[in-house]
Amino acid sequence: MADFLGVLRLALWNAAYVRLVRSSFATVPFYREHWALRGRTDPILVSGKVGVNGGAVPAEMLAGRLGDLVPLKGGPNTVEPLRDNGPDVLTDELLGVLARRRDCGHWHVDWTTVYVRSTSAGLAFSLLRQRSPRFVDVLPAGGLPGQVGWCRGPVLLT
Amino acid sequence: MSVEVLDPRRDPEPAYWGALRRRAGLRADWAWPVLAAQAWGTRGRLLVSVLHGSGGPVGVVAATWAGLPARRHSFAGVRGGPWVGGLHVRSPGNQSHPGWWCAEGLGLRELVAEYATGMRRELGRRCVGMLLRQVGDADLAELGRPRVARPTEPVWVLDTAGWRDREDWFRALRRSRRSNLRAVLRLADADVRTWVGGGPDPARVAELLRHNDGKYGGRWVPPAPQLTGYVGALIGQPDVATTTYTDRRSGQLLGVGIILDHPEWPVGRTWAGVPGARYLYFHNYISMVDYAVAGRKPGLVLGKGKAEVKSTLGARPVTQLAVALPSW
Repeated sequence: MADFLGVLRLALWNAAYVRLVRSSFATVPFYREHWALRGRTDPILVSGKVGVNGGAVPAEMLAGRLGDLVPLKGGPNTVEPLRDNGPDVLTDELLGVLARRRDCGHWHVDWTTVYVRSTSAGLAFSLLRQRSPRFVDVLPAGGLPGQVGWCRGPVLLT
Repeated sequence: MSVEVLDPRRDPEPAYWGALRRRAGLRADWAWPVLAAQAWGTRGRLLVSVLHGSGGPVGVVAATWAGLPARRHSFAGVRGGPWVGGLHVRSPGNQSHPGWWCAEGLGLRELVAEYATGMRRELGRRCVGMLLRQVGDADLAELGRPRVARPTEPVWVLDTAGWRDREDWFRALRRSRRSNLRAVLRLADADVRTWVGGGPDPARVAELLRHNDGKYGGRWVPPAPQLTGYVGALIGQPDVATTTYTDRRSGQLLGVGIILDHPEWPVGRTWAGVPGARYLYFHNYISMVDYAVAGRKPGLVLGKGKAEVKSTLGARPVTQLAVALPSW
């Protein structure tokens, strides 16, 4: 039963990410341009174009361009200041809370709100619920090398 | 005659494109890298159709293929198109010129007929017709007085032939406008650093252009934002002159004007400025006239809108029509 729930959770997590990528490509100026002209992977959106680092973008590159991350429908172009902090919380100034350390010792990603994938430039994070400004495949400031593992949910192996 | 339909999102620049653009006098908004960047940022598919005769290209038409279901909040799909729609024929990146060119010996009527046949073959019955924009009086006569033709806002042009410097222009203006422009020059000299040439940060320019587009946005379908890559590709073209205004103290970008060059009629494509710097709007006209006079151009296209202001600047209106040509 636990295995079944794990598989279901992983499938839902991946599906939410693919929906986010497709919606961002269709409606958000920055991703439209970045992935159309350079490309991306997992999923590939324009055949033959695979981009750099799988299409992930360093947070530093986005900091001055939050207006480009607002979907055509409109929305906020500011980031709320980070309130949650502490030794067992992994945060990024732009993205907010990325993961929390649990009793098992792993850095757990909240799978309902954050997606993480491994790229050649390190771990890239996406905010699944935030409509605007949209953050998809963002490499946190300074970079975060590692892999994605699983411990009843996604965890960071850094 | 054959019609080659190109999608700049996927199709590489044709080998003949540079020569065709020069021959047809198509401005920088038709440069292929600019079209390729722009085509990803439109709500309808941007299609460029080239008409080939026995000796090479004899005509070209740029149009947006749009229709139902309408896309208010998303860019054009990667594949396919609307279930039913039409071709909006217009210049890809400026609102002062038509979206077609035909070689000598090929009339507009023939061009439109060949284009319609080619597009019907490409798009099928889903395409119910086309809307031609920036149709002049002579074009209208050539089209055989179509049934659906409506006047739109005129395009304002300024004749600069024979002027040696901006003083020749000033002398032709009303005294109040002349003294206003002199005051604008004094203010700008004190406050801003003016720079003509390429080089401003495309992201900052795009931000300003979007702010400007937002002011004039359509009520039902707001304009798609001009993408940074598109702006970068456009202002990076050798036949584009960008005037930038930056605050002397803070270095903030206060305004930007973009001129698309042409051997005879350069066009002021865009002006965008931050709120509260209206005098820079007038300074940009001075920069454009300086540009035209320095290049010994016979005239300058100032674009649509702001009729009252443009008439006091000595410009004259040129009638424009929109013509609908149904497929049946």
